[in-house]
Amino acid sequence: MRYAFMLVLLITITGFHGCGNLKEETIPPGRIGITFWHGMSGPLGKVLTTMMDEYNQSQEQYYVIGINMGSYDTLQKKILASVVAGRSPDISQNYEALTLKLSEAGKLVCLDDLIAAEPDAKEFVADIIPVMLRNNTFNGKLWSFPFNKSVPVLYYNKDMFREVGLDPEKPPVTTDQMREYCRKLTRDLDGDGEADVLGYGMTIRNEWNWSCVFMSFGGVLFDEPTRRVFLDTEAGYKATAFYYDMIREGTAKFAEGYDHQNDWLAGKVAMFESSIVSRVFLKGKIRFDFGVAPIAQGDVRPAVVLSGTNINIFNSGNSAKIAGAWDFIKWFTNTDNGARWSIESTYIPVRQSSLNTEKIQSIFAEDPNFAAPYKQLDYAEFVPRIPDWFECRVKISDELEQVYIKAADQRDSGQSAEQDLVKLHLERMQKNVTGVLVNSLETLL
Amino acid sequence: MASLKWENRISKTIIHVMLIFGSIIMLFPFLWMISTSLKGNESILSDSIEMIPRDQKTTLIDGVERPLYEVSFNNEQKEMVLLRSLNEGMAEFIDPANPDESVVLPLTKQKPVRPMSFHWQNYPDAWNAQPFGRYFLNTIFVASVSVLCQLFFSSLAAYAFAFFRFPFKNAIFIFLLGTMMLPQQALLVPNYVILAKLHWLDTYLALIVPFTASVYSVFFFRQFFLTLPRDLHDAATVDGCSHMGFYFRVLVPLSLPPFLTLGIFSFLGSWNAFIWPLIVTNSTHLRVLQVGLAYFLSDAGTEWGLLMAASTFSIVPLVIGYFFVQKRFVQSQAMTGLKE
Amino acid sequence: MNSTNLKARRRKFKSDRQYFAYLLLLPTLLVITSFHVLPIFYSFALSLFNWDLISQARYVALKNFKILAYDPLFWKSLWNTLYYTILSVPMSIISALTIAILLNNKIKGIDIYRVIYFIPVITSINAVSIVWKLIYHPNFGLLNKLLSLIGIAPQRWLLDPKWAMLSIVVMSVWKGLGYNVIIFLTGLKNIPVHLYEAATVDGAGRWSQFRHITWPLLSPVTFFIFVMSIIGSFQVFAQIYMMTPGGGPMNSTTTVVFYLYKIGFGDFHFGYAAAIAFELFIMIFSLTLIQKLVVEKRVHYQ
Repeated sequence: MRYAFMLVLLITITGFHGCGNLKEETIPPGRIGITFWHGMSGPLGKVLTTMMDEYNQSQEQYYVIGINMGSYDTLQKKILASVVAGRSPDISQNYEALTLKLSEAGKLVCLDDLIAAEPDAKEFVADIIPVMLRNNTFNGKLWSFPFNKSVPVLYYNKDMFREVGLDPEKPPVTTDQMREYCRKLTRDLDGDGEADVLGYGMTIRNEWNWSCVFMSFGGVLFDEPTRRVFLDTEAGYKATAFYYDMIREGTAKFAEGYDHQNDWLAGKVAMFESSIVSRVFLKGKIRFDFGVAPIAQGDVRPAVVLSGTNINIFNSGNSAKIAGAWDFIKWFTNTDNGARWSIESTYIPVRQSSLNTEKIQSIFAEDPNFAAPYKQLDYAEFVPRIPDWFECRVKISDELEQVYIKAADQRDSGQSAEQDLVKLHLERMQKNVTGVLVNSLETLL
Repeated sequence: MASLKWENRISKTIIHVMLIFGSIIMLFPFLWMISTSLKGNESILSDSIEMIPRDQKTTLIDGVERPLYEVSFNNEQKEMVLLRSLNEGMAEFIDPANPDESVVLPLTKQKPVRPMSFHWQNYPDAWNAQPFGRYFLNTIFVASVSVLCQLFFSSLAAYAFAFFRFPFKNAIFIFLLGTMMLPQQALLVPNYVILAKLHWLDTYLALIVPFTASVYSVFFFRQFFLTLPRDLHDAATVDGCSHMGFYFRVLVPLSLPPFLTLGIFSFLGSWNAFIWPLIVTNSTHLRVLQVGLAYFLSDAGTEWGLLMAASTFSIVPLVIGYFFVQKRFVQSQAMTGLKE
Repeated sequence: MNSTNLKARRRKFKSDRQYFAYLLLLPTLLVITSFHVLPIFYSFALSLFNWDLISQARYVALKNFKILAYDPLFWKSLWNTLYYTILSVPMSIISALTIAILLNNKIKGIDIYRVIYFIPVITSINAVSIVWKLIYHPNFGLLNKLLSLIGIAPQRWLLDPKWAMLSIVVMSVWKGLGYNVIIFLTGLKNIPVHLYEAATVDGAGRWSQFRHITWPLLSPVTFFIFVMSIIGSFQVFAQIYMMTPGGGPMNSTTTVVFYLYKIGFGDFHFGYAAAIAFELFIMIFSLTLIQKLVVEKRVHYQ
């Protein structure tokens, strides 16, 4: 019996010792390991992994190990947790909202210093797409590097356009056109009195799209110095009523999560709006002729919200690791690799020169669907870069969700657009988002 | 007398019917899980309830996969391809062998061809989508080590309470019992901060050390040890047996049932633990199964076939183990309940 | 061997034994004290600071508690926890008791039933949460499909503030039912059979037997399950994290523990989270105390 216990203890102890060695992936001897935490899964993760492998083969000094954290949300939490634990990765994907916090705590490497050491520092910076550079600059300094940036686009079923007599090369440009197109595209196929195909499919929490339309109606989301929002405005009303009316008319439908994309694939809706990268997930599943176009806009100014994450280098104090991290970022976003990443993942490249490569230009010429999102780059903006904005987005979505559900309940009731209902929810939205910003622990404590 | 017997039989039947109905509710989610784990996406997303996985049969027509239907016209049954839906419930079908001729028939009256098809591939796909092998190893390692330590330490403490007399014995015992009233969830934040200061976060130590002691186990062991004759220890030690010698040679062999019961219990607890491993580990190579499942859910949010496959293979080892130790387990659960 | 020698040996042995007993207790005491007792005090100390563990800690005195008192989400999470408790505890007790009474008959296959009802208890909450998430799916979930068969309109279950918490409760009751069934069953087995026999001779029906024999004699067990379930409901987390990762539509499934998790391990406000933890501690601790007192009183009078 005693021996059994001794054995057990022995196993325990060796186990403890052994765990230090049980690492995910081993770094080849003589190389400096760079851990990279990201949130890219599915086909995007595959592209990223392939490119990391290529980087590891392209040189012999550094070795990048990618670790997929499942989702952006988990990634965010675990980045902070890793800083607390004192075991940060060397580089990670990150939202702008956290960058400031981490940089203020001295956990990040300022990229300006690294860029300044480059022989062609000026050209290096000048080549980055301006909105992306602004997006990563905090108090005049560049703390993170744009990595995977996206914008929303319109996907439409050209076959259906033809079937109802619409020009498949002329997708709707304005919100008014969108409404009209949706009416035409909504059809009852089996004659049971209910429409089987609807014009427009959307995710019920469409705060991203809504923000774009809101801005295009002249809306201002957020004033940074005063921490105020302006949702309960004419622009807010127009943007919300746009979706509300279509749902109530029965020409648009909402679905949970990404199910609106399945609806589109199954021919239940003719159009939907989502990220440019949705295309990668839809690849091979589309059973009809389709088009990609800029999203429909309000009547004040064109606007689209830039989304996606950036990459930052953690200040490990190890200059070799920092140099390796920077080397990888430069490699990944250089003209050729940036173009390739863009083609395979459909994310927007970071550099102007990537867009000008022959590879991308020839694809633009061949596939107009690929070129469509880039028209929106000129007027792309980004949402407030404060940690509280995550919660604000939830509050905006909560109210929008209520509006859409009520719109669906009023379908066929023959009532005209209920102004009061939309206004009521906008008031609540304004109140709740303000509440988040005012009661923010960041400001209270 | 006969009527009484009849009444008895009827009431027994009613009891069985109710119990079987309850059993269906208990088991159906698991059956649905297994069934879904073998389905393809198209079948999962469909509106019908199918226990047996089936797939729509399709044929390639002009570069597009089109669905096949069992079509009946001219008193004939034929497999034809649905080309497109037309207005008023009509649809255009063509014979794949003879694509130029088409017929227009009401869609709802035709039956889609859906042969059985099991997507076994979901299992390896799910297994490889995340390092589940690693997660299992971690879980087994963490559970084994913490359970073994816990059994060892708790039985030692119980040994002291049952066979030794020493100052403050009662005070210490009451103190320990008192700690059973402290809610675990309220300790998450301070313990996390303590581990951060110890630099134990994101290590196996964080997963194991806090669980190497259990007052409940001490109490359980003590109760058992008290049923053993007191002079056993005196006799053995006077005979020159050391304290640890007594523990290993006499006490442990005599107490295998509580060791086993508590072992199963704590192992299960460790296997199913979630919130603590979720917060104290960040790296993939330290993830335990439950945390891995949570990551997989957020990663593969819409791949229900894979998610169900992962749920299945993470449940199956426990259910199999449960069938082996079922009797003991139910008894020990009952003991817990009666103790109060 | 003379007697003084023996006495001396005995004495030496005794002090040796005392010393050894402490050694035996050491590992358990050490772990329990450092991870279960001291953290309670530490938690209070932490709650006086504003600290993210990344930047410098800032002493804010009782400000965290002041903010907590006016934090609508904290009150909402308290209400949600209470709501969960009010829904789940009676649901669980009634169904578990019914099944236990059914199982307490002399019928065939009793062991099989017992195994079946116990299976959800041993399976991991995370895995079954994934399964139930699919069952509750608004578009192609089993529940909506079944309801549509009997003509009930589909609901958005976990995505609807009205239904989200109830959906989680139903799943949790299903998961924990078997445990309570076994405890009730053990309690039922301890009720002397002759009481029922006497009642049958007196012509008492089933309901009357239940009211006058089963229910009163089972009440200690019922009370135990009642309190344990309440304490359990105050700690529920995994199913909420898995099924409604954001805390539910309109925060409808944000319970106190979930809120604590969100503030602490999502937003990294450890001081504020410690304040929530401290409140949680007080609540559960008082519940446990009440239970102990009631049980002791009961034992006293019996």
